[in-house]
Amino acid sequence: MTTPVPSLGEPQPDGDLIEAWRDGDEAAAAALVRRHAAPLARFLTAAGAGEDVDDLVQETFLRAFRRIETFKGVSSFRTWLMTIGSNLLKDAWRRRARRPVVALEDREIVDQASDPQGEAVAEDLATRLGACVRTLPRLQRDVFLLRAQQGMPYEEIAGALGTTPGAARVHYHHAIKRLKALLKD
Amino acid sequence: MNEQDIERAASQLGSDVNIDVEDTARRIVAELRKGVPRAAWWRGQGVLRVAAAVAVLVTGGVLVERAIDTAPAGDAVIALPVGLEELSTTGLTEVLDSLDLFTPASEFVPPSFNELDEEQLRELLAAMEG
Repeated sequence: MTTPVPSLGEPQPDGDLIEAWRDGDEAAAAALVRRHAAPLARFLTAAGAGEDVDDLVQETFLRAFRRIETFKGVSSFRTWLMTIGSNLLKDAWRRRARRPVVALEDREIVDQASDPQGEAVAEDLATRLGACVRTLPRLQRDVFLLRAQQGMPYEEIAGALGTTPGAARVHYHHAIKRLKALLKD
Repeated sequence: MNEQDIERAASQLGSDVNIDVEDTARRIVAELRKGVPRAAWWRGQGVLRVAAAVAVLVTGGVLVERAIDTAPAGDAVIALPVGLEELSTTGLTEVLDSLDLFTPASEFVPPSFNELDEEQLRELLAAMEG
């Protein structure tokens, strides 16, 4: 039997929930998970988490909550979570001593006979792009995903990754250039 | 393919992933209730350092005792040129290193004397002086 997690009535800003969790409020922690777990899972999946995404999401939140005093608010809580998740993903790959090899044929491909051609092409592009993104250097990959997938401004990305907005732009530019080249092949 | 095509496709990456957010929240809160996993007390760095220092002192004492027992009568086993109090930590370490107490035949492999603090070095030398 699991103990129910209390819910909060009114939506609260992340900052209030973080403060509440610092005071030991479990409902605040649960609210932060409900708010950010899905985007975090999307980010980690795009970064190559694969079947481990559930465990990685959980581990990311646990690490964040246990080290909440290190969150200074330079970036948003969500962006901070994603950088923690990215670090955990790197550690997981290091433990396995290999980067994940994603075979395109292993990915689910839309049945073109039952879908409009445009959707099939878009799906195919997304599949190929996903595989290419995982070959990017980590910083380029994170900047690219935070910008293109999550829609974060450069200032926010720079704050989370400990760099400058200008440098983040450069990483993004290089990522795009590399992806164009990879997708052309 | 241009930048806009890539960005459009990127915005869809990972959109097929589904996680049970409620279940995730439940599991995370349950883990948080368990508290932060603590390392065993005896694995703390301070405890290990003290244990290493004690091991060095005890083993050093045993070896010195053996050296004294096996030395020919009348020979000075260890001749220290100056009083221990006059030596610096570096000096104490150099003296210990120069004594060549640990022969290759010995199974004992001493840790570096550099790891000992000044007090521990004095104690070791004092023990050797008898």
